[in-house]
Amino acid sequence: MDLRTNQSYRRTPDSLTLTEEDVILVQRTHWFSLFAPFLAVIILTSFAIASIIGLYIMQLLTPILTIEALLFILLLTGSGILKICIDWYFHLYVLTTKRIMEVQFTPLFTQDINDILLEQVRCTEVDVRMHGILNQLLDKGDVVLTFDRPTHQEEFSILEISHPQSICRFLVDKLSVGGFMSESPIWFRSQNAKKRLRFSSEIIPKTSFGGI
Amino acid sequence: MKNIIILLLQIFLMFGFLFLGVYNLLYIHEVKKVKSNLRIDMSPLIEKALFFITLIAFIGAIMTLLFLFFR
Repeated sequence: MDLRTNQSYRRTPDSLTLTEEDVILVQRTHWFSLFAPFLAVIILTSFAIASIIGLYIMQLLTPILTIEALLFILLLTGSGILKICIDWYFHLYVLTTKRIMEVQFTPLFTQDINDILLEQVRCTEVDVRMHGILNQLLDKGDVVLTFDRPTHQEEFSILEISHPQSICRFLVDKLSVGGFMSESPIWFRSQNAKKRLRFSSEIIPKTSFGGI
Repeated sequence: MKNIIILLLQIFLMFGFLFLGVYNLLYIHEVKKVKSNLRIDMSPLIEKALFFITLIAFIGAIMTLLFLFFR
């Protein structure tokens, strides 16, 4: 998968970048992360609609009032669903030549920009987390970057993204170009064909009882 | 008693529609602002849907107000 030719990576948040800074990768969370809030909204709407219809059947509401109440609930649901979509759309992970950022804009509510200057830190670990059958099937997971700062260690988590393994490889390639990771061993993919990953059976000669 | 509950519900719905309309109007404005700040393309369908909801909410508020007066 070429990350740069993918549609979702082409939309670059230009205004967030500094001068002489190029955007390398832009990534959103996986679309499946919308499933839980959508389900919650649909269940709540169903309960509300059922109670209004129940009140109408019990003749506590007039037909006009019932229609108005149903319309209000549908509009509320529509607003909620659109808000969830827009919040997802404006939640981005951006890798530039100088920084790695998490940008989260919730229009009318919050604005969060969390960035790490790559020149000021040393990336010591890039981990992939994919737990559960759904994540495996949907190719969804987290990429955790561990930075060794002068004062303390800190993790930068890229949560619930699609193709985490490809993104991880891409990040390692990009972070190692500047020399940040060129000296560090990369456990999941060897750059050198001669130093490919080897199973223990290839290193330790085969004997009975597990080598004892 | 039933009439008072219906009256209160109508008032609640009227303010609910009004709140939804104003909220969505502000939300559209804010979304446009964020979109231009980040310079990110967004489907015009979402903006149209927001505008549609706002319109229906204001129409709903007016209709509820009319029903409240001519009940």
